[in-house]
Amino acid sequence: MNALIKMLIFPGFGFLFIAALAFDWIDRRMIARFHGRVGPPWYQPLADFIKLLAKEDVVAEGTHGLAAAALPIVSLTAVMTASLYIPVGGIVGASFEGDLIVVLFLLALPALAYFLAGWISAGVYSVLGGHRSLLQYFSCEVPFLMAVTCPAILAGSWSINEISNFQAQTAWSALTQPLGFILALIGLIGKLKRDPLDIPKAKSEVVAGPLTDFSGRKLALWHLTMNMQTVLGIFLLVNLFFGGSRFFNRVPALPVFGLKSVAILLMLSTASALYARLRIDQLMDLGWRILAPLALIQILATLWIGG
Amino acid sequence: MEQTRTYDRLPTPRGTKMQREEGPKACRKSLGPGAEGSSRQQIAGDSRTEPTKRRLQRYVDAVVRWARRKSPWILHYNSGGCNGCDIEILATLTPRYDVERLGILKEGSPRHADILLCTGPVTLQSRDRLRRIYEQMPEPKWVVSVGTCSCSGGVFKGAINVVGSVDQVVPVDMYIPGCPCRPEAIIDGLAQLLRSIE
Ligand code: SF4
Repeated sequence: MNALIKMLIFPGFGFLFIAALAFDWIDRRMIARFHGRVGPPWYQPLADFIKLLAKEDVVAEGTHGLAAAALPIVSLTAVMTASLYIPVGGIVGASFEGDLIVVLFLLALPALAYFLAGWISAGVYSVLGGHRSLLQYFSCEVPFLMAVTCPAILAGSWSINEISNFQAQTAWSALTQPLGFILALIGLIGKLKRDPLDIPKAKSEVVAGPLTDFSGRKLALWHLTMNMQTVLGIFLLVNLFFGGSRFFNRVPALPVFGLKSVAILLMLSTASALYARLRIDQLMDLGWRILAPLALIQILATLWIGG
Repeated sequence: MEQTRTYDRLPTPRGTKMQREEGPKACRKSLGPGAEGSSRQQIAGDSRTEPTKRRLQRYVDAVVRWARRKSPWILHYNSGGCNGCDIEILATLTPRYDVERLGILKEGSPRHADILLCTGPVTLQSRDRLRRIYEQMPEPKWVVSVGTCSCSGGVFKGAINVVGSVDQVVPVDMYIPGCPCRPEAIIDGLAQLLRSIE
């Protein structure tokens, strides 16, 4: 019973759904404030979601219908499964030694589904967007993974919960490994395909990338997956770099966790409002020539200090 | 076209009483189970004998109608105009007018869009493309013709390469005249279209 509540309501699906809509709204609102405008009302993500659910679901000629229906569901499932292993506000859904690796794997599945969504569509923009998403995945995922391993090495554990507990007792990784945190943030932006790195779905170049031919319910699920992924990525960073829900070894609390998450969301929004989109070759350069070596340096430094 | 579309929104002067009454008020009336005398109720029969399923359906319909009104995503296509109206549309999308307050987002793909904003007269070359874009959009969809050219052909009317107004090719739901029409006029037209969404 307890497990069911955890799965369906609190750290599980219900909470994640509400958090996804809320974070989407906060993000859009903050970008609007950066532009000097008011921005959408609070119910906007919900209205978008319901409207897309009620819209006609077109499967274009030449598209693999079954795969088109399965891919959004697969990626949504992967993201929701990952949510069980990420502690929220001191409440742990499920935890075991090595769940960090499982979460990273589950969060990588949507990227593969996203590429396949472009591959099975008949449109040229979808195929082009799919290729770009794969290239971007390779150049962003490597620095992200390397940066995320640093707190794990320092804590001597591969369990997210233990890492955040360790940091609550010693010091936040964001302070001891600032380089790793910045790399993880950039990697997260690339993983989520958010604004400065929205190369696979650049509106002025490839229309909407792999999702160009998706409409109605499937598009709604894709949007939901993206928003949930944003939430989970932020929660993951809070746990790995900001000591989870504790504030300098005080009692774990949900508000503290919420504040830290919104702070990271603010960093992401700032990045989307401030920077222009990179070209795909610039991103490859950045990823392999700068970010990956820096991540290597960070890992070596962590080994030297911690080991 | 599956839906029969009424063209009678055109002759009504914009902003008249009649059009405004059809909007959210009428919707709110059909929402509650106790709203007797509304036309929907008469079709559905007595509310007590009405099956629960159908009543549930009405609530779902009301929520969906609300969502459609609050989240119009637009697609913009110039079928042969002078680009004046397009500049005004882009001006409408700038932070100065902030149409995201109404939930309006510009989408690149016809598959994601709800409202097609057409500018300019339809030329012989763009006729098929306009029709194809319209067919690519999923139902429910609306077409707004922006500018005098797309409403009537305007200064290009009668030219050898011009078919005429947009409504000769696709059914139009809202006409916004002006050469070019101001962003305020476009926002007003969109807002009135949203009010009339059933
Ligand atoms: S209505 Fe006027 S501004 Fe608009 S496309 Fe026609 S001529 Fe150009």
